[in-house]
Amino acid sequence: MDLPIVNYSKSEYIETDTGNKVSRKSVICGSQNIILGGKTILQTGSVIRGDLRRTGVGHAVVVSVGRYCFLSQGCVIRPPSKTYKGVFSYYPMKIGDHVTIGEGTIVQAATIGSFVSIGKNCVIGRFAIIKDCCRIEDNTVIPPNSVVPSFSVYKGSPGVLVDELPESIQDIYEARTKDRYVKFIPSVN
Amino acid sequence: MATMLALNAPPGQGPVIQPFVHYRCLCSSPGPSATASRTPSTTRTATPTRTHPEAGTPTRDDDNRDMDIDQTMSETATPSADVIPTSAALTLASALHQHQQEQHDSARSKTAAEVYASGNNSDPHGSHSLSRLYFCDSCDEIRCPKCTQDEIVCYYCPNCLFDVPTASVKSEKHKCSRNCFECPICQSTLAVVSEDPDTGVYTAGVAPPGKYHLACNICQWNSQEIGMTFEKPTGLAVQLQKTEDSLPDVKEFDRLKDHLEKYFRVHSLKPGLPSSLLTSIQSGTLQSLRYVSSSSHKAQQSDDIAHYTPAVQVMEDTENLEKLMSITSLSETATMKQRLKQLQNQTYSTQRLQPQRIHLRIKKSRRCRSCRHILVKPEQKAQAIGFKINLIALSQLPNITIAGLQPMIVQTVSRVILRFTNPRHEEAHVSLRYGDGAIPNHGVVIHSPSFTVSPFNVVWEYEVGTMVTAPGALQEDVYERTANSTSIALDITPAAAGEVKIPLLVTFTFKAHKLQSDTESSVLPTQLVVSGSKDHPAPEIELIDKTVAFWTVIGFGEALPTFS
Repeated sequence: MDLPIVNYSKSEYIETDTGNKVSRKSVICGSQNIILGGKTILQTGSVIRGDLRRTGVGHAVVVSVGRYCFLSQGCVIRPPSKTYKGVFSYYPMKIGDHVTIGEGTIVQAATIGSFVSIGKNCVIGRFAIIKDCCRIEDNTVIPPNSVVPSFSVYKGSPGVLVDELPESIQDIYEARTKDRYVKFIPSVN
Repeated sequence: MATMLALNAPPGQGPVIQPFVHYRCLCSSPGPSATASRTPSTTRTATPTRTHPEAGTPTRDDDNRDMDIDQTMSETATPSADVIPTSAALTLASALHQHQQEQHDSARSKTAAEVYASGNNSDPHGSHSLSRLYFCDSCDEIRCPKCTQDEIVCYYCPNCLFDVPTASVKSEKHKCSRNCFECPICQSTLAVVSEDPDTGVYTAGVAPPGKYHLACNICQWNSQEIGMTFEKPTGLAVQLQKTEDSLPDVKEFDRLKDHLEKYFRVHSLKPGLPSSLLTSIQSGTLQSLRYVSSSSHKAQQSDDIAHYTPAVQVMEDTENLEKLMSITSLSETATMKQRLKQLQNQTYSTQRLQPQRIHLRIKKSRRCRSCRHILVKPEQKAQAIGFKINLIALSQLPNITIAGLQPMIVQTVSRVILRFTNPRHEEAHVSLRYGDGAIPNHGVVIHSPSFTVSPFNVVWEYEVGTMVTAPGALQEDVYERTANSTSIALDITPAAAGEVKIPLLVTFTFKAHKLQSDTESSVLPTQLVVSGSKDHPAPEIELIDKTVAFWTVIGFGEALPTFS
């Protein structure tokens, strides 16, 4: 089935020069430390904590999000933190292109690759690494410091490998994220 | 049909039946006719024994099927673009087309009822979504994961993502030999942590020298609980493997393997196979060994395998039994899942569960089972996601999506829009035919059963929407035509309540680069096909027309009995 056309109120969303669509009802902290790659949609109630940056250093990129990403309602992007040699610090997070993050999901990963789909109400633990071409099912908990290799489907708490994705998944996710961006349009009135 | 209705829960109570578009792979058809036509020798040339299609039909296996339908299928799959396959009384195909029919023989030897039956969502082997399929461009046939052959490209650890050389995989027992361990309690990845003697604070990674141990981030299990600590944080797997190998169960298993391997070699079963199988099974517990040794004892009479005497004699485990009898809470025993993960020593006591090294994963390449061509070849490196060869069906066959869907009501016409997207860089032609042998036979009217789909062009990605013509306003009878897709309308009249799914035969004609092997056999008939369609440009020298016919099963969700 085709994705449905999603209409949004024009007054709610800000569209940037590179085509990012950011809801005014989202919480963006430390926007100078956040990079959005373009054509990325931040829905109502999503949170990006760009203010949680490494202690002591000057200007630094905290969260970088690629192109054609989709941050659903109420998801939280928070850079990972740890105490290393007695010093507590946050570390930067990188999210690739064509990444979908479901509603109510909390992400504290170190890296999320490209062509990744994360379901609703997931918890991605601190410093988790999700490689390219992966799917995390709804309500999954990815433990801290764990690695999700490419072409795998993880599910459960703690998340375990349940399936493998076909070789065509890159094309599918790319087409889907592009299609969704095209169909995310302001309502007429 | 009655059973089907009985199985379906009343609307609103059962799970929602989702619309789907499934493509059918030929391998799901059993029978010698299907297998014979897929052998490499017959894919390109006509078999001498093959007679005229009509004469050939009664010899096919599906004799219990309606022969008329079968015959119709055979005729409609002929790659003539000007024949709209709606009538059952079609003229016979010309003899020139015969060898092409041979290629798709197994596709057409299937009745619509068969296709329909296997289009069920719950039957994953019959038909697949396009994303799971491959398209072999030398056989010109759809291949599913079942009719492709996997080959291992490389081994890697799913945690540290390091490639493991194939030579050392066996000696390391298909497990990571670095610092990757899984928790014996919850099977999540363990972290190597050090205990700082001064502060007592756990810090991950490199730390002042001291005791190191493994800790689970999920269930808070700690290897100190079982008295397992390490002097240095690297090479833990080597330290652990030493203790693993010294366990009596493992020793016994290796001994038995050595014992049996001699006979496998002598009897020359598949060389190398038994040994590698044994290694990967690794069921080295004494309990299972007793069965193995007793069965090998039985085999002694028949196959002359010498009697195997175990090095370790297993006593009746009364001690363990007493322990289990006195257990008061279930949390004291290891669960089945935990025990099965402990390959060397399947203990009941949670205190004796050991952290396990992480199992390696593989990268696979895929071959077509009939012509041995490689369909998928990933890059050698474990971390790379690219493919050197990737003949997925998604990039070669028209992608059918349900673009518009009205709720289905029994005996009421509802309009459905199907969109055909052409992933190829050349214009393609599609003709459709409804397999009317399906039960129940829904009324299906295809408004434009034969149409062209524009080629895929990268430029269009940047100007989406500009090429769109108004729906329904086209002079042709297609519903809508956009960049590289054409939408057509179908009128469906569900015959009965329940899930509505229809078999649809898709004949797809496209331009392809000429293969070396095509020169003698395929040129003449395909030239004839080109002359049949007026809007085709003159064929270039290196491009030829190819025709592929395949069955699809399209589900439109559930039909309601009445308006409600």
